[in-house]
Amino acid sequence: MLNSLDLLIIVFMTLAAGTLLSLSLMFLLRNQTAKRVFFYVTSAIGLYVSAIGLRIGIGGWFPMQIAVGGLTALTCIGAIALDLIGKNKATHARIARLLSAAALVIALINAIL
Amino acid sequence: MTENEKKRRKLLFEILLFVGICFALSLVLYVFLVTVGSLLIQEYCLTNDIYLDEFEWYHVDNIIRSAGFAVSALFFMILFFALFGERLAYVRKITAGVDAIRGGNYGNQVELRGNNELTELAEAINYLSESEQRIKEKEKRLNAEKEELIRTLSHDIRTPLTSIMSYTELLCKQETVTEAEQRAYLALVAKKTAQIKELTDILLDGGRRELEFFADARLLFAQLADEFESELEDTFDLAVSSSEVPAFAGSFDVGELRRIFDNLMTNIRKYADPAEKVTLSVSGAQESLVIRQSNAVRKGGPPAESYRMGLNSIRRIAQNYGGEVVVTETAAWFEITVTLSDF
Repeated sequence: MLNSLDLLIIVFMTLAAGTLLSLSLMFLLRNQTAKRVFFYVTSAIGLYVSAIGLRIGIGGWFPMQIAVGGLTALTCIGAIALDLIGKNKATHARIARLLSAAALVIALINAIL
Repeated sequence: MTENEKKRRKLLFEILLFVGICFALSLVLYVFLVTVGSLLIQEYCLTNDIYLDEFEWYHVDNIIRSAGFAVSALFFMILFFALFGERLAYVRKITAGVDAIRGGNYGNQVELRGNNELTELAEAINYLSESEQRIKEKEKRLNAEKEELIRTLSHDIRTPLTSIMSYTELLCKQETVTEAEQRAYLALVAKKTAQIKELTDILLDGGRRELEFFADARLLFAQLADEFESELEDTFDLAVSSSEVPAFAGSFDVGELRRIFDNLMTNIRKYADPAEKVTLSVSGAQESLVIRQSNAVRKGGPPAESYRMGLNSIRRIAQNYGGEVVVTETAAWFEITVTLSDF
């Protein structure tokens, strides 16, 4: 039977590997559709990890962690909005990808460390 | 070797680069998982007052390292196959391009991606596709031209053939034909037969021209105008003028010129109003020769297909001399201006 430590390690490893994989594919693939798909995957993971950070922050009442969690979540939403507004403009898409990647990395650090 | 070829990267280099990137990222992930994983466990144990001895720590550390390695290895494989899969997908696109060419779809172009041997292959396929398309179009154009030539020559053959038929019919029907008339008719038949032979020769040679140099080509045109007059003077009120042509030298295919005049005569016979004047003038203007013919159109005259073909035939011949044909026509009036420039 898995205990809470096992679950913590599994969730951590899955999130870490998933994050790096979606980030790598988002930047390394050439196919624009695939890039876009991984952008949304990255943004979704970013939102999820931000929510974890927020929950941990609220649970222990760590204002800094709450603020960072909230900011990263907003950044992810902003990146998705920018991509949707920008339609097929390459500059908009590039900025959105960078924002989403930065938010995910910060959210992950905020949630775990 | 072009600049593009010099800069072209090897596919092998790209694959090795993928391996390198995947390996480096997997290593980063492994280090991150092991380090942060250990820290998390330590934090968890501290928070929950769990004490681990050295052996237990060794055991936990081994589990973390093994799990980290497994996750990193899985990460490596997924990332590598995703990146390499993109190249494989491109190979499939190239194969589809080759299949399209094999299927006769020559306009199909393979999208150019990257800068390696696959890009070079795609460029070669696109070049092949374009060349094949060009060849096919050229072949189509040549076939169309050949068909047009056959059509116009077949039409032009009908003109002397009709004359032969008329003269032979005349010889057969008329009981009282003098010997002189017989000889004259037979001479005309012989002349028209020679004309048919010339035309069939052109047909067999695929439209080869036989240019002859004339030191004074004015005489040639004067003769053609005279023949025009003698052929039509019995039926039509003619006004033929060829005296405005200055003396000039040039190379002409007599058969072609005769075909121009024959077609003009055929059209006059078929469509001109005999009650009105038919005019023909041959004149020279600015290093070009202008043949202008006009007539009133008989009721129920053009357009007919053979009439168009006759005009097309004249147009083709004029093009051989770098010239042009301008036709002005109404329901009651027809005028054609043939300009010959390159002779």
